[in-house]
Amino acid sequence: MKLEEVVQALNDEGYISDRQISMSILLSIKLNKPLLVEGPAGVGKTEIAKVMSKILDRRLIRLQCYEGLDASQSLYEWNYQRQLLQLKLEERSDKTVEEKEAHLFSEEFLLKRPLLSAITSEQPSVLLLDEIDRADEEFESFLLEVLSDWQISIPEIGTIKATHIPFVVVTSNRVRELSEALRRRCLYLWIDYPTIEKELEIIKRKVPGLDAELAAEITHFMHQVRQMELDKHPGVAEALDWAKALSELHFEHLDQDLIEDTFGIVIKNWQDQRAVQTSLTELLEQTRVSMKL
Amino acid sequence: MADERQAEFFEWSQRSTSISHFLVELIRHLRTKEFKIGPNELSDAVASIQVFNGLGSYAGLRAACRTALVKGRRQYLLFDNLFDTFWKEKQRSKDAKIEDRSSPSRSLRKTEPRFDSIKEWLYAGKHHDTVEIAVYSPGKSLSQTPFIELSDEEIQAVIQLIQKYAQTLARQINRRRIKANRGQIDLRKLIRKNLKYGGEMINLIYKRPDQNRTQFVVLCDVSRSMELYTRFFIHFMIGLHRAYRDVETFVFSTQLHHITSKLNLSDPDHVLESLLSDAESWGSGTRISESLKHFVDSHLHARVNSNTIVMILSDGWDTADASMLSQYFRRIRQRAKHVYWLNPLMGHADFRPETAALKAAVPYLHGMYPVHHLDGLRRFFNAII
Repeated sequence: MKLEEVVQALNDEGYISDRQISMSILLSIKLNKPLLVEGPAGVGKTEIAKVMSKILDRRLIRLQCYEGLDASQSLYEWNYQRQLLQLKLEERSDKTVEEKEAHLFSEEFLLKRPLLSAITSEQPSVLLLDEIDRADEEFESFLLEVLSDWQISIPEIGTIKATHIPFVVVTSNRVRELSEALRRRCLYLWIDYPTIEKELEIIKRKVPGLDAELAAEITHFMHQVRQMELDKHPGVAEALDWAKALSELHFEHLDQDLIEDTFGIVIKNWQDQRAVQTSLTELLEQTRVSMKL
Repeated sequence: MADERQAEFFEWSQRSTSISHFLVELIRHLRTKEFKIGPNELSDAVASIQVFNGLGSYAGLRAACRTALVKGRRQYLLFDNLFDTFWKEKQRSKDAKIEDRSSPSRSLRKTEPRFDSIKEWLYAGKHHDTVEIAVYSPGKSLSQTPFIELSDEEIQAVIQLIQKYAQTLARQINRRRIKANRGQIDLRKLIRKNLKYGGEMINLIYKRPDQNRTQFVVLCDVSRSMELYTRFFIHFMIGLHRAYRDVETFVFSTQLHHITSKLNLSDPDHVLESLLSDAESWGSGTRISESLKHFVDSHLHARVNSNTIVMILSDGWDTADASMLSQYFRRIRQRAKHVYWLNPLMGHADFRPETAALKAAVPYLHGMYPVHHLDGLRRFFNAII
């Protein structure tokens, strides 16, 4: 696969990237190194995995990380209830103890969670570890083992080696800083808020029915909002939601009332809402200035 | 400038036989700027240049190296400049060699700046000018030295100790397990609970990581008198936040600022500096009352619940009217699990909580602790966890 092909393929699937993103993706595939994507919320980190699964024609296996995520939820778990029932059933059978044990601890009773599924998948897959900063350090170190050796040891069964090494995308919102060991194991990619030109392109691409003038106004306005001191800055995803809503409602220009009515789509936090409302006239003014440039 | 570099690039790509050699030097240069890069990264970089072979430009070469060598946001932001500097120095040293060959009479002349850059290049940044001497001073260890008495080198050492301690603490809390309905089997409890069934495991008992766990909220006073202590405490919060998610950091002097997200994205010292140099807080004292009001109005409900430990780090000197303070403290106390006041002035033997702010707070606190040195910090956290 060549760089131009990656760029083209991403574009065809509606993901407007830049050269750095494409380079990181390609190198990650070539080196079989996981891709760690960091950046503010809503800039398209998770989308990389989704788009690549389409491009590479591979199954997408997703592990949504959360606080308290551990091996039993991410790797595997024994189906204890069924094992107990089976044990009861086989109480009077003629099988030897070894045979019973072997049956109980066979794949039939093994619940495969995303990490194990990705490794033992018959076809190569794309593994998405979303928002890993929400899991804790313990999980990170355990994940590192899996990502380094591409094998998992299940005491009762043995060591399971990967049939195919998946293309791994790890995303993080930087709520917490990730361990150095994990960062070094991966190729790092930082995706920031897009430039005005890029965001305009994305909006036009994803919301084709939108009036061109309005698209530009939305883009410039979002750019101004992001400069403010807010608790949670809106990302590209929010801009797109807003654009789609305005497009469905067939509006053509931004004005104060329209923004007041619809901005709840973009800002989900009441303190930030208040901050935006109070500065609305200034923001609109700056938007107009910005558009003339 | 760009064209000049492009021309240099073409010359280099014609001339160069060893990519690894170039990369080794680049990596050495990056290491002096605190990039932690090893042999794995070197081989990644070699592969990267081969994969992106067709890029054929200076910018392309730089991007290929960046893709393989950068491991974090800070490095991401610094990389291009560092690469440019490295390239310039390489060109200069290359020119120096050519100059020497073409005009032997000039070879004796060495100009100062060039010498320095070559020296750095040759000795891989190890500066032989300064020599470290280990000093032994019996008596107080670093943990027991008050922060105000630390020298500059010691400050760095203490900050590292603080962060290490924070992470150990976070891990301790992370490892707590409580009863659950699914997840990992808790074998001990399982056997115990099933004894009455005589060996049949009828009831399955699970354990999982404690999710209703302690949250920390700290309000740090950043007025001039508290600057030093806040700085250390914020390093602690950062260390804690690295391993433990439920940490919220606020700072206040005349206004309250919520800085948790800022701390993640920037260097903490920069964040503090930018806050301290704010025009409104310069010279004027603390306004605990207003800041607490802001906290209670805007953040109390969202961030404080019955699992939250609220800490106020301040010396208690307040310039404004303290009449409403009791109310705010009462509301915080009602909502939070525990409220503590951390006061660096308590290090003095004859300390009494006599300022209006402290007097208003005392009835509603679960404790007031001294934190003028690292040991104080440790003792406080060991007491409350």
